[in-house]
Amino acid sequence: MSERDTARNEGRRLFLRGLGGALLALPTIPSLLPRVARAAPERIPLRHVQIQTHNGVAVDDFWPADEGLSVQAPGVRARRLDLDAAPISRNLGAAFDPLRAKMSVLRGLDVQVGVAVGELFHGRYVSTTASHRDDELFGYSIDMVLQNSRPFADPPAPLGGLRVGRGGEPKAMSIWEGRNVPFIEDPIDACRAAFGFGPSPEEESGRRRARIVDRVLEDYRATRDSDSISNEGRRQLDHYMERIRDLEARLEVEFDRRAALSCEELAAPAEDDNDARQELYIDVLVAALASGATRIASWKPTGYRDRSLDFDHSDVHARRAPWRTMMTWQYEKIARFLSRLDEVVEADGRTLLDHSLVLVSSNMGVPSHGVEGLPTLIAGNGDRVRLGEYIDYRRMDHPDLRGRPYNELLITLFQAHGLTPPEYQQEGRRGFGVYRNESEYGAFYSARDTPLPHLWRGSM
Amino acid sequence: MAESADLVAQLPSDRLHESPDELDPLPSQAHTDASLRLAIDLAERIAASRESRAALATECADQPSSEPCVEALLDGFAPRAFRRPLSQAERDRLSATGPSDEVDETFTVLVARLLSSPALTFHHWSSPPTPYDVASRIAYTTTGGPPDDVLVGAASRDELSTPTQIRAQVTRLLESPWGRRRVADFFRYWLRLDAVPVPSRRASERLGLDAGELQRSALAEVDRFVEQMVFTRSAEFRELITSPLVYPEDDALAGLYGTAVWHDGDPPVEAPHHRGLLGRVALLLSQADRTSPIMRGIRLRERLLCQEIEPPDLEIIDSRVDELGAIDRTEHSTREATERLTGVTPCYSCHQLINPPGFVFESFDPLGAYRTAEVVYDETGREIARHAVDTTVADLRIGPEAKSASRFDDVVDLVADQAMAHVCVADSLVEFYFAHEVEACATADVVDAIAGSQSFVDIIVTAIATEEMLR
Repeated sequence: MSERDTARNEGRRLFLRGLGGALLALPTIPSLLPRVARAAPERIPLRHVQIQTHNGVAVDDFWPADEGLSVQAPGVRARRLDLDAAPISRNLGAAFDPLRAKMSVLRGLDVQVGVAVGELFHGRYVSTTASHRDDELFGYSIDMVLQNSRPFADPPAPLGGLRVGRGGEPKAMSIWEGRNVPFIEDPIDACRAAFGFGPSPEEESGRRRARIVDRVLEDYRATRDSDSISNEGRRQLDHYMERIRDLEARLEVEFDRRAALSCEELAAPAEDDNDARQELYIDVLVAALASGATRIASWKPTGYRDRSLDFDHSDVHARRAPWRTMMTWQYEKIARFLSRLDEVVEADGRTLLDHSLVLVSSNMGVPSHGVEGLPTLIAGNGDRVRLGEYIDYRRMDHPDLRGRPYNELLITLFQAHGLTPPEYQQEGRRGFGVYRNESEYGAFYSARDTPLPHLWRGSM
Repeated sequence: MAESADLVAQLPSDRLHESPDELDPLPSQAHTDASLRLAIDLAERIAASRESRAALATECADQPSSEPCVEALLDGFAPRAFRRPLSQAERDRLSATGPSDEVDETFTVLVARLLSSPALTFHHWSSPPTPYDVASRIAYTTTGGPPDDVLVGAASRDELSTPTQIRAQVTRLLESPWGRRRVADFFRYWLRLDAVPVPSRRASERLGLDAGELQRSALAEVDRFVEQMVFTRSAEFRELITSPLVYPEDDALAGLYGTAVWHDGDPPVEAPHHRGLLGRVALLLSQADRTSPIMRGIRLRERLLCQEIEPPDLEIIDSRVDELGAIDRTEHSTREATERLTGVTPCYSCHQLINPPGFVFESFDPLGAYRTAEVVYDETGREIARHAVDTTVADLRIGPEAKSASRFDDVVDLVADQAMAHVCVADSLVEFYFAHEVEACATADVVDAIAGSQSFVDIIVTAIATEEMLR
């Protein structure tokens, strides 16, 4: 077996910050702990994560208090999330406190499809505005578009996307199936998908670059030692070689042969231990994003029909306590995931969360299948979107407090990822997704490629 | 190539006055990182493209890591990168496979090594310098780039060993596009043209002009003026300072000069009030809606005469402004306001040098147009006052003798003949072309060439083609 093959079989390593940098606490996957830090890639990529909660929320549990909201732009009210020390809301409890500056809670984003055609919809609204009845054109979700887009294709990640979760309506995940990125229920299978093949292009490139710098240094050494060189020339070369050695030290890649990753070492969670299952999902997702195995991740943390959840569907519609407790537990898991991302310090000193755009939303607004006011938050990179705020897009003069098209959020995310309209539009149709219910939302349809006001901070 | 463009952007600026290490001949860590990463990035991109590989060597198009490809690179691309033939030892070292090299990476590794090689990165280090070192010195100094085939040919025939031979090559290269561009860069450096402000938007809008466009147009006109003077008219230094010719290519700029639009190939256009470099609109633009005799005076002192002006004490300025209160612009002209502000101790110690030439520049409004009256506008653009422009000064305090002035021409003529200005441009030339501090003896010949009314091309050649090249 060649050295190259050996390296491939060892799987990938996390590219966490260099020696002396923070270690990532991944208690359930000790073998994923970085034994040796990996050199940073030339350009740290922006990742995309979408998290789908299920069945909406109890309005009183999810949304922050409206006190303090003030008009920021026509039709937009907002306030900072750190106005007081109390938890943001019951669902977004104390676990979100350290994350307040890196997230925004968005209210008043509506999907139009259900309203227009009287359907009951489940499970697509996180990443698309299309229903399962819509055609292929509208059926694209943003992760699918991003996966094939310019910013995510240069160089491409080995895994186009990693999608994990369990349970729920089968059609809730239908958009994620059959698109060459499987939806994986078993967290150990997800680990194998992420780490079961050779080094990423970034790793390959890093190794090659380290070898090249080493050879360049040899060339300088040979020149420096030649007889014809002047003292001034030798002084210049000595100085330059010091700088090269400094660069080499930063590029150096040390591969600890003993630290081979084995997904088989992971302890499979018990069938009814949803908590352990979600923890394992979290670790695999964070490791996959940190290592460059993928730059796109989707997670459905609810385990809605998991046997461990002791409630009945009727509890959902009745918004009874068991379901409300489960919802809070679900958001605690999301907070844990975000915190894990925020523990990983990358080469530029910013965290993996800072280099991610995380979208959290639900398949509906409230358990009665309403598709207005999806409980939405975004977190992560604030270069182009405004974080740290509760932003309310509800139209206060509308009798039902309808808001703006959810499409505008997807447009915002595309542009935050650096895509131009022609890069996300399908077959040249302006905007993205389904635009219906003109009577309610037509006023917003004239500027389909305009990102959400106030949330969008503009090009950096 | 987006990533390569990013890496190029990371290279530290080589504009002398932008870098704190401007006169340090040693490369910084930022230089090292950016140049090495750029070399590797380019090598990877070339390796990934059949067309690019073929452009380097046809043998590399389909079999980039084969022996014929390596040989072709060492025969063709490597001497161009090294700017000289390779020694056998260098060939052997570059063609040898390293212990950890991947076979299919040979091409990438070799191209990256060539692009970051000592021979490419550093211009000269042999003692004594070889003819190829001299060729590199001449080329990089004159054009900012590597030697061309003519120069390499001269090096191979050992025809770069006398001052005459060097002067001939410098003269030839100075006329090349790269040489001309470097001359334009010299004027940008000398006159600090990158500090030319976007002019007052309010003043621009009153004339229906776009402020940003006006700035760009005015700066481009300086380039044309330099090109025409130095290369077309073979102007001497005095003509550069006193010529009434202008080259406005758009209506807006022509309007400010008070002339017709000039097109390439047209006969020269005269603007009698706008003589020489000092009369360029670009050098007269004000960021505010009124002129600044102080800034204009400082520019003349620092740029044309190389006199250092101590930065003002901001506390003194603040206290002086507080003391005076707001000066009513409808009552007082800009000159009067400036005199009130600066005419006290300790301000006057510097402003007695700054203000006199600055007041003569009051002949030009904030957009650089000639004027005889200063018009004051309110915020709506309505004229609210008009003051007569007073450009008379008792002593410009330029040169050893007292010299009064009543108009801009007096300043222009005085500067053109000032030994101090001759030394200043000579020092600036050596500083720019050699990027090192200037010793007085190094510029004596250049000063003589200026005083001797040689053409500016010959002045530059004198500055560059020194015996330093051979040592």
